[in-house]
Amino acid sequence: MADPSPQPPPSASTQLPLQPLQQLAALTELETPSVAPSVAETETSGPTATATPELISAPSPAVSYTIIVPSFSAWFSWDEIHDTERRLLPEFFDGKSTSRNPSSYKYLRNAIISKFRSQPTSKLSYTEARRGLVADVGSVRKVFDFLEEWGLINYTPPKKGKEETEARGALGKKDESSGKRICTSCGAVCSLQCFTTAKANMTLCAKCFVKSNYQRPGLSSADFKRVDLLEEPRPDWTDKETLHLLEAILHYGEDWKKVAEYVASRPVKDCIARFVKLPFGEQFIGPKEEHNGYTEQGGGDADENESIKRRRLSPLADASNPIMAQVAFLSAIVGPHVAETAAQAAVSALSNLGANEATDLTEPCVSETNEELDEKLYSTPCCSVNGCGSDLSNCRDYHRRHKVCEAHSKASIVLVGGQEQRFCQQCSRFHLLSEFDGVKRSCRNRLDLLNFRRRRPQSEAVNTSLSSASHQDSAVGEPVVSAELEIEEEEQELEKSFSDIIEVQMKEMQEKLVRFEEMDVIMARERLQVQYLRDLILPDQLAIAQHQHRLAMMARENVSTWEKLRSTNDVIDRGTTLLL
Amino acid sequence: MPTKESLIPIHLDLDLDGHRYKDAFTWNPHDPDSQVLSFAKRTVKDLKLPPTFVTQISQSIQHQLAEFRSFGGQDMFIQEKIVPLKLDLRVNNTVVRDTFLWDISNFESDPEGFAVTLCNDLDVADPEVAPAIAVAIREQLYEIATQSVSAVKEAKLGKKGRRGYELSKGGNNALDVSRYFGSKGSGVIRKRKDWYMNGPTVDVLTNEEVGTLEELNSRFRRKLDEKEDSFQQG
Repeated sequence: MADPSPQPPPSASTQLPLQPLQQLAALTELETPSVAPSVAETETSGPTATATPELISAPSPAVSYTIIVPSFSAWFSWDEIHDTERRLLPEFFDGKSTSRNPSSYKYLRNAIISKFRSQPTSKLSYTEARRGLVADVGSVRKVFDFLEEWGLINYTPPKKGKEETEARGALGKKDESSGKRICTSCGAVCSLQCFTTAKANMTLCAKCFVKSNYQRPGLSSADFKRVDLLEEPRPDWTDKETLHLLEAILHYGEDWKKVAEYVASRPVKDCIARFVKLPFGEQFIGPKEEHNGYTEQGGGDADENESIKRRRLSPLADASNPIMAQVAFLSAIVGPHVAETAAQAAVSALSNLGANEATDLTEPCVSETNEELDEKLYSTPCCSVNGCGSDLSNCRDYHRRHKVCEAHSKASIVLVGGQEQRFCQQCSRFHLLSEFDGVKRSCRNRLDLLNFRRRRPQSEAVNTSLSSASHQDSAVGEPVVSAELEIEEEEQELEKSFSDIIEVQMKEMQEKLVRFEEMDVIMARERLQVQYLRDLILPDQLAIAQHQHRLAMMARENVSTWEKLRSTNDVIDRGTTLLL
Repeated sequence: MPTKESLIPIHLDLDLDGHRYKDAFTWNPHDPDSQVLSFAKRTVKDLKLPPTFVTQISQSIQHQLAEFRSFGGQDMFIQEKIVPLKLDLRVNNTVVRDTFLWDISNFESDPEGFAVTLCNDLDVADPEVAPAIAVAIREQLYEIATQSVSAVKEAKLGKKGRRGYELSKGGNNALDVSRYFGSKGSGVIRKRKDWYMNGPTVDVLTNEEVGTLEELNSRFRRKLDEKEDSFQQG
């Protein structure tokens, strides 16, 4: 690899706290042949400046790829050891240990860097690096950490500046092609599935995996994970393609092969998936009718969609509510247009009925509610609970509108009008206590409605219309008030769910605390046990020490007796010689 | 360790939760023990092993380090001894077999350099062979060192209390050099029948052979385990 000669004044732009030397020099231009125009923005203001990488082109023979080295590591060269290295890895250069010497350092450094550069796109892990190196793992780790910190390995330039995009363009293409999953053993492009193993960083196509053609026999089939690639190459559908798709569907109906042919670039499954996901019904924001869901979907696109959509509607027919089932069934049979007109007629009839019945009541009601609304918003009301005349001008609109202070809106029992009541958060009024289950803050009717509504989101519109039709309180002719009610309901739901979440988390914490306490107890017990064991061993140790002591004593005695014998021997000898 | 720098050979062979981790490398005893844990964490992260491995790996490494250190500071009685070392290892696809003589009293000897040179000279393609060779050599040296240390201990505690060192038979794997080589005057040339044994052989196996070898190994290991279990129970 051709590396440029080390740039004389290395830039001081560095994020590392390790560099004590203050070599301030602005590297504004490089004389090296670079692929992109050199970066002119080099900040040299000091240690807080971010590093701006510059391009040092080092094309390797096999792949024309630019290895990018940050400017603060421009001193690097293959054949020499720079001062920086000497300073930062002193243990290799001080001669204290024999296995760490300059030549071994160089060997390690060059080996690691060449290993990284053989596969510049993938990050070289420490374990991979130390595998092929003959050295103790501590030294490898030191060199590896040093190189990684200085960006000589595992370095990808940060994404900023137009000059970078060019470099990244070159990089990116390589990435994409490598992201397209080329099998490492046979080199084919894996389209359907590939099998990856993290242990050796390999990707095999299905054929090679079946053949068990692993590069390294240390791997077994269990090490491989399967990755399905069907979803991966999925660029977005352009408008043109969508148009083609729709035309094709119009022509060919459900013959997906022909449709895929017509839409040039997409396989069959993509076509189907895209078609199913096409948005419908934005054009059809009609009044909330019974068959709203169905008509939206049915009328939104070409008629050929009907057959498919019908199949998707069958879940609607599976309604526990027998009326809904009937309705869905009938509408499915009859067809969208007829159903639409029928529904419209039905609803208008209903509303007329409702209006007629309640004309006497609704009109003053309407006017009353309007008045009340005005009152509540613009005057300073008081809470309607008996005995609580708190001023509500500081509370939210909601409280003012319904004439209840915050405390009493959440109280379980309040006295209103001489009766025990509770404020229902859904209806936003007081109900008799008997209407509530337990400590719930919404009356039974509303809760049932809610749960029912929640269980069937696609017939939500239907239910609200049905329920509103059946609830004589809010007749069909008051959409505004019902909308407001629903908004408030949503708010309440949100608050409730928040408090639920918090409760659950608190419970979690409590349980953790309990468990930790238990662990503490266990630890204390074990500590006691260990101490006990230690105490047990103590007498044995003492016995051994005594024994040894005794042995030593005996040995000394032996020696002394021996000495005595020797001396007596001497005396006897001398005596005999004297005698003789 | 009869080398200038003692690098401790560490073996790891862990099997947890269906993940098998087998490794052999050298550890520098001068590195602080805090490195053990960070090394374990890094390895587990790089190889994407389950996190239970971290404690296992660090415990195993520390155990082996402690063993080594327990021998430290004790006299190793080293005469001028030339010891035959054997290599018989399989790394991925390469099998290396070799027997050679090693001079323990020469503290300048360098297992790492030997390994690198061997691989270069024999054109071994796989770069992972060299570290394995270095670790194997160090292991054997370590064995010899511990044996000689225990021999010295035995001698010190010997009943006679004499000051003569008698190396027990087990620790004496030094060779009478003259007997080893041809007698009488052929001097430094080996006996012909020993020639084949002492050269290095490097075989490259295909993947199937490796697969069968592994199977045999695991079967053997399983049998050993069974025997152990039955022995313990019995």
